[in-house]
Amino acid sequence: MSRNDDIDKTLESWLRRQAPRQAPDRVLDAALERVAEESQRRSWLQRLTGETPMTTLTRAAALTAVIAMAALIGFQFNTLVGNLDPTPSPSPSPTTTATASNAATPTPEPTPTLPAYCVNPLVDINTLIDLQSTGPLDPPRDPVACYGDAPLTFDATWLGGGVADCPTAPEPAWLACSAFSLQAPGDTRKVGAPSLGVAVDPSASLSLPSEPYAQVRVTGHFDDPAAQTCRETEPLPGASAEPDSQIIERCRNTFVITEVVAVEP
Amino acid sequence: MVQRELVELARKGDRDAFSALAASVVDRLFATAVLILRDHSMADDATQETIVRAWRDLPSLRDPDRFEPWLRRLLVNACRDEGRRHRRRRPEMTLLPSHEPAVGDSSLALADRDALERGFRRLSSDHRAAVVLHHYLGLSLPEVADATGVPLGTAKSRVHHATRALRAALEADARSGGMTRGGTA
Repeated sequence: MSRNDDIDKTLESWLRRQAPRQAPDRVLDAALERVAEESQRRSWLQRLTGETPMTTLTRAAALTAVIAMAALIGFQFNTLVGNLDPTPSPSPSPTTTATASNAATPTPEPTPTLPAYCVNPLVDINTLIDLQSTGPLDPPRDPVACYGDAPLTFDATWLGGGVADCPTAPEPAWLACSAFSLQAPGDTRKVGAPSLGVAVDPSASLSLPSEPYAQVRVTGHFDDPAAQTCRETEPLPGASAEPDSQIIERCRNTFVITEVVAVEP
Repeated sequence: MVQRELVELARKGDRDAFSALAASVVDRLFATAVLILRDHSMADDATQETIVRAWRDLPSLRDPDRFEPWLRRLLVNACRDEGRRHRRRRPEMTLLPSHEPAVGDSSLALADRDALERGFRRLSSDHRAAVVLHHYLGLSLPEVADATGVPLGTAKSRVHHATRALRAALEADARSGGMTRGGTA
């Protein structure tokens, strides 16, 4: 039996012992009490398609409202486009510099094409963590759409890491299989602290903190040029190989650190 | 009545069907939340929140066969929210007590359990969630990625990083002499 099998079995056995077999009655009771007071959310589409009782008049009114809103948005967009400088932008991606330091440089207003979830300028590391934490039905959020490859600076707690023990040998491993991570500044050695996975280019020869939980100010960017070379070289047993486009997208959305400076806690 | 039928009825607002559905999943939800959060009180809140969110958002679930993965994702998000909420509210969490006596499990010595507990608590909640989904619920890595809302590579990285950290904790414990190993603790 390999060492991996050993640890897997030990871990599975330990987790089974730790897991309670039954939830206390109060959990379900309290949840159902709250459910009794809550109504379900229904989207406008469901209302229009008649999954709930609606009168013809209500449907007509809703449809009219949608058409009116679409017309209004179209009008606003045309007005906006008409007011813009006709000179085409040399780059299609956002190139704003976002910084969370106190001496923040003036940041251009976000362009109207940024997705609604973008927070630009960047507030702090939690902004980036939230980009990774989408809701159950939300589409994945794209940090590259928010920040392009612009340098971003924020304070964080260094958790350490390195190249993860990935089973599929993706390349370049430092970007596609990095296990470095950061948390919000301050003492975050507590249960439940969310973290931001980041990568460090070994060719950058950065001086990284030797111990975890160091307080640092990091600068880095998304959409590293090396992302275009990301490849999965060996599919995981039982799973189909991750398509190149998907792994490149994942690498582009990985924050690559270019500078780390220790700061006082 | 099979789960799919209950889901379809609950999607249309049938509270009785939803109650039956919730009763069929609450034990597993709670156990998973306890393992991720390492705290019964927080797991209690996260499980309740998951059930309430499931009721509220169930009409938006298009495919009733996707109920289980969808629910797991709600649970992971509720655990994440609960962890954040408590982190702001209080500085330390209570430790999870062991639920069963230590005797009678020859496969896992007390020293191993202690080392695992310490190693597990040092992991971030995201890493713990990945380990619990993979090693306790037996989900494949693509399913872990789906449940945690991250790309497959990130899920792989989390599971392997966490497993490696736990293995290192066990090995460090063994090197230090630890406590009684392989016998009754």
